[in-house]
Amino acid sequence: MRISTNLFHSQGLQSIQKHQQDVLEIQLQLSTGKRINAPGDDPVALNQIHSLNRTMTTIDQYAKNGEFAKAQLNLEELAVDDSVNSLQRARELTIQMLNGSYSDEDRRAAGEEIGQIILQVQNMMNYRTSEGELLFAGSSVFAEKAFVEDVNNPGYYAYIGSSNAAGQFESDGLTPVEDPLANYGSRFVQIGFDDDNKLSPDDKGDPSRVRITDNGQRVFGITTTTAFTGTPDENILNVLVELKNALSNGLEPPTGIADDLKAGIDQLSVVRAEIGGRLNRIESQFDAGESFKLSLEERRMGLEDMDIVEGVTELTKSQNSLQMAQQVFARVQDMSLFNYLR
Amino acid sequence: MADMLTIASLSLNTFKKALEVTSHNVANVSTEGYNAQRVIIQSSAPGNAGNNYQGSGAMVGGIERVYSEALQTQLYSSQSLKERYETQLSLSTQIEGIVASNDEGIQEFLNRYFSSLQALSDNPTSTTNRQQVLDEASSLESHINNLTSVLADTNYQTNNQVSDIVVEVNNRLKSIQEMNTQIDNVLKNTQNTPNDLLDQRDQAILEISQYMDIKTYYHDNGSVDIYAGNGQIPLLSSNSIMQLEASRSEFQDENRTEIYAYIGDQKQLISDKIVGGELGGILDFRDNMLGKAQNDLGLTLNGIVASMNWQHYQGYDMDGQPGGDIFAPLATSPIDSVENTGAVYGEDISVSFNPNFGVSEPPYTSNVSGATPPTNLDDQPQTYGEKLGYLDTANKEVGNFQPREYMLMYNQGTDSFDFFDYTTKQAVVDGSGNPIAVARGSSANVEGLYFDFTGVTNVPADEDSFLVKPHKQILEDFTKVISEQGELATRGQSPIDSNSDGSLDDEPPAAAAIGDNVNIANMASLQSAKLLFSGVDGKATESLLGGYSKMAVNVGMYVRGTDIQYTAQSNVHDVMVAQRESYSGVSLDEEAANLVRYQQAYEASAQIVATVQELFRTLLDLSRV
Repeated sequence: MRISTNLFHSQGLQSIQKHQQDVLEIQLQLSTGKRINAPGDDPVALNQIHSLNRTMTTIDQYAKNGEFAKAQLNLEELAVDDSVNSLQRARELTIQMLNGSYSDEDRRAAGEEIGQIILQVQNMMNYRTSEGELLFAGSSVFAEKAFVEDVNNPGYYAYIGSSNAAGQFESDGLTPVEDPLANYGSRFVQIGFDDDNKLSPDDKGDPSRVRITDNGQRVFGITTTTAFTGTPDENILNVLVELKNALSNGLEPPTGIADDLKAGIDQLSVVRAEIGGRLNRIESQFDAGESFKLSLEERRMGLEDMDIVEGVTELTKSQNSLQMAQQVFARVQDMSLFNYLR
Repeated sequence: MADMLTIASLSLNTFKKALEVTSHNVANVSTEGYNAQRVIIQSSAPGNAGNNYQGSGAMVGGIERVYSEALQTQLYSSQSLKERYETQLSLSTQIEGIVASNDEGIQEFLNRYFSSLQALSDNPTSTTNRQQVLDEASSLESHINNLTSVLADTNYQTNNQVSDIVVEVNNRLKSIQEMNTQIDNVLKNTQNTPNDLLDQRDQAILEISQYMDIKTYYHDNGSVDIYAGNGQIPLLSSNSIMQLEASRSEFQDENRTEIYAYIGDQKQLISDKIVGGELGGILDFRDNMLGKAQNDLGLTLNGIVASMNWQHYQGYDMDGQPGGDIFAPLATSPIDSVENTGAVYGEDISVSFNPNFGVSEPPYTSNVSGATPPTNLDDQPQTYGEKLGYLDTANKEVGNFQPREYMLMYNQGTDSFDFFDYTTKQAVVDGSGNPIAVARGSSANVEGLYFDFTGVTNVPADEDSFLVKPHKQILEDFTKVISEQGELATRGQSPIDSNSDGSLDDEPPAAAAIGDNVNIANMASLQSAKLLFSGVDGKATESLLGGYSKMAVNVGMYVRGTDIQYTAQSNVHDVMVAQRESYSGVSLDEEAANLVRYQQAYEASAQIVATVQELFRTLLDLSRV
């Protein structure tokens, strides 16, 4: 068979080009550290890589959401904690003052202290986050206060969701303080994958989401036994008001107050435990997410990343082949019968 | 003895010729398309010398090409297939990196957009978080715009390439025509074959085969006919040229260059018949990769725009106003065919996303509907339950999207518009396999899109056609329209259950408190929700980002397939080249050997002359004595 001179030449060139191509490809893979650099490299794996990346980004986002929720819940825990301490002190005083050995003066002094406690508790009930949102006003986070003075039952305090808050306006003189929406609404933050990807207005929550707001009536409201004048909201603040009124008049604390304070403390402890539970849930979701991510990352690496050892071996191999092809080309080009015809 | 001298001079001539041909071969060792030539040396007719026949030497019987027509025609076809896949591969790898790159692609921008929605749902009253959502939506928009302009450039580039190649093909045809004439003249007037002219003509044909797939018919009289489209479309037949023409498609405004041929004075579209060469590669790339990627990507974008907007309509902004559009909703009109004769134009028809047309067409303008039942289409529905129902319908329609370009053809018999897939030219069918048609003057949802023919008051001519590409359109029209962060509708329906029946469905639509995050949380959840590509059971199978992945995988598959085809075809081509080279190519070593052989023969012939001279001298010397 005739080997034409052109074929000699072009075949040598082709094999050099082919090896150059190989070297280039491995160079790209090694320099990016990735086996797949474009969809065409492995379209089937690409689909998996995309969905793995998506899941991992989402887990990261849930972790961020969890961080935010944790900060918010810690704040709420702090406020509830503080209120519990205040109530403890108020209860101590109440039990103390029930003892007949204290004078009217002593009781009036205790009344002063209860006044301070009222301010403190009130402060906590109207607590705002760094974003300026009320912690205990449900979703009505931008109301001026969660608990306002009760104009319908003077001397007492009313939650803005209660009908006792009717009849007064915020400082702009226009916006009514009463806001039935404050009785509802709870902000849920997503910390895990949701089956139906849906949140309803009256959502009761599901394992994928954690509640980060509360409405004040639910946290601070209790079923009281204390006898109030009129029909103010049944909440711990008003129990304290009743206590202060009695003590300031030099009277013994009315019956039922001690029980109501106990009930308030219990109620807040339950809330605190709930918050703790939610914090735990965030923590465990985070841990689960991280370990899930770890195994996803492992799979992604298996699919996408270059095995460096294999890559370097491959590179050396292609390099050698290229050099060989170049040498062969130079040698073969030298061979011609004309060289011998002198 | 005079015969001996004749033989000697004849053979001197013969080997001189042989040496010349050998030199010609050596000189053309690098000439493209050159076929080695051989001198045919034959013994001249023997004469009668008394009792026996005696030879009278050798002479040149002709110079012929070492040529195989079969090898040459196989070369044409392997060449055009190789060129096709090479073109396809280089164009598609170029686009692959742009539309479907692994990092910093659309996926990245979409992820960031959804992350910003998540962050806002943590803290819906934060102005920083609200602004961030708007910023991410803007960067998504500008990324899509960049991408669209690159794709448009590519489209422009392919149009130009098609026109340029058609010019080249026509030029080649012209020169082949001239060569045919010359070859014909030579063959008529002499007995020699014009070898080098034939080589040049084959080379020109080979060049055409680089541009498109052709079939050749060599006639005995030396002329050649060239056909395209698997032998159906004559390009050069009986030495007259049928020129190709590159011009815009029937739908002029779609800006797509097609290839036409004139067959018997009839202009015929032949783009779909060209499957090889650079042209075949460009055309395949344009339909199956570029166009498909644009439609797939556009479908995902349409899904994003529709589902985002509709979820946003459900909520209420900082001022308690119902949510408006986040992205500009799809609104397009078909383009006309130049062949239309009726007085109906594309702009009389409109295509948009309007899943509950005639019942409820948000964005809602009023907070709470005044009239019961609501009178205006953009009034809030009477109850929250109804509103949720409309949202469900909208999401279902998103699942019905198909990555298609629609050709609407008027059917006089039924007074309606028939739906065709523009790429496959097949009728678009509904779930039960019946072709879809919408009556003139009415409107309907087809594959998730609202086709409105109510503006068509005139009657089009039969078979008047209109072309609409809703998914390509959204790529161009993708815009963020919300501008104020306060307009982001983060809060959802008020949770107040006024009649305490345990369900909000019977409540009138109303806003929740300002700190509520229900609506924005639901918008963020669209990231994971399955919305696209409903199966037969009506359940969507892909999330919005999954729609993007699907496009990327399709692109990857195309590149991979092309790469495999290219490797295979270039191997086939290499074999063909090797075969042709080993048959017709010039081997310098062989020529060197021939040179030695002919030179020796020439020297020997010269020696004969010398011998004759010596014989004479001997004879003369004898007579002198």
